[in-house]
Amino acid sequence: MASKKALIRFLLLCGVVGLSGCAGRPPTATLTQLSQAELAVQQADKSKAPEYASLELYTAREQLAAAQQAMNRKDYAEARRLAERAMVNAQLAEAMGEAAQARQAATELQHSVEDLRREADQQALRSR
Amino acid sequence: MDSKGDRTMRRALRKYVLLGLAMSTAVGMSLVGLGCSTIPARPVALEEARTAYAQAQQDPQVATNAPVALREAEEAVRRAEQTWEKDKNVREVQNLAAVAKRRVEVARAAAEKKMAEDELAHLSAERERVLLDARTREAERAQREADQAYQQVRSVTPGMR
Repeated sequence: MASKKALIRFLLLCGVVGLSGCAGRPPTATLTQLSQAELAVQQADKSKAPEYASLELYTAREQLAAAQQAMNRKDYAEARRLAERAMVNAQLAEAMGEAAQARQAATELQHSVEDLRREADQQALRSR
Repeated sequence: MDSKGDRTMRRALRKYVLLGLAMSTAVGMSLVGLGCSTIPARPVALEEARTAYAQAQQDPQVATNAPVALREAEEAVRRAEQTWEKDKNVREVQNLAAVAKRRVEVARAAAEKKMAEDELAHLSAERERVLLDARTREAERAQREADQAYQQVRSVTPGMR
């Protein structure tokens, strides 16, 4: 009789522990995605994105903040989704920043080459 | 007389109630059936992602200058498609489709970067060439002037040959 009671108590305890485990710990996929998103936003912040792709970077930051809020209210699926969106937007901001920077450098060099060529032509005329 | 009319009325009432019950049950059942058999509509975002990818893939500038990023975009589109085929989770698929669309934009940006870098390399070489030409011309002019000066000096100096 006593052993039966103990068994029931044990089973109840197992149930409680199991449930609390379920409710308390966010899934690994969510945690991984969130840290990847944080990293991507930090990296984009350090790149040329703030200068050339501020809208995309802003969107990424907003989505990361929304992911963290979803985390706080334990909506882990939504947190994972928002974190992935934040990550890809941060990567886009970075890529756009790099593209714009390269484009600007090319335009500047183009002007510089044109100036040089004009100078050289004038020099050639003078020396004749 | 009174009780007979009463009975007839009660019978008619019962008939109506039963009929009403049967009809509402039928309607309810068919609604439930409809709800079960209705597959959620394919998210528009999925189609948009697929179109955006197809356009980028057909763009030779993207295909040749950003093959890796384009492959990543393709994988993102496939992931969204597969998730849709597997469990029709609209929310999840919409998110994956949005991610895939962004991946296509990343591929476009990567292609733009590569093209600008190629142009930069080409322009650097061009700049070197222009500078070299100018220097060569300058050297030739200096040489010519030196020659002229030498000839002049020689012509006015009696002892020189």
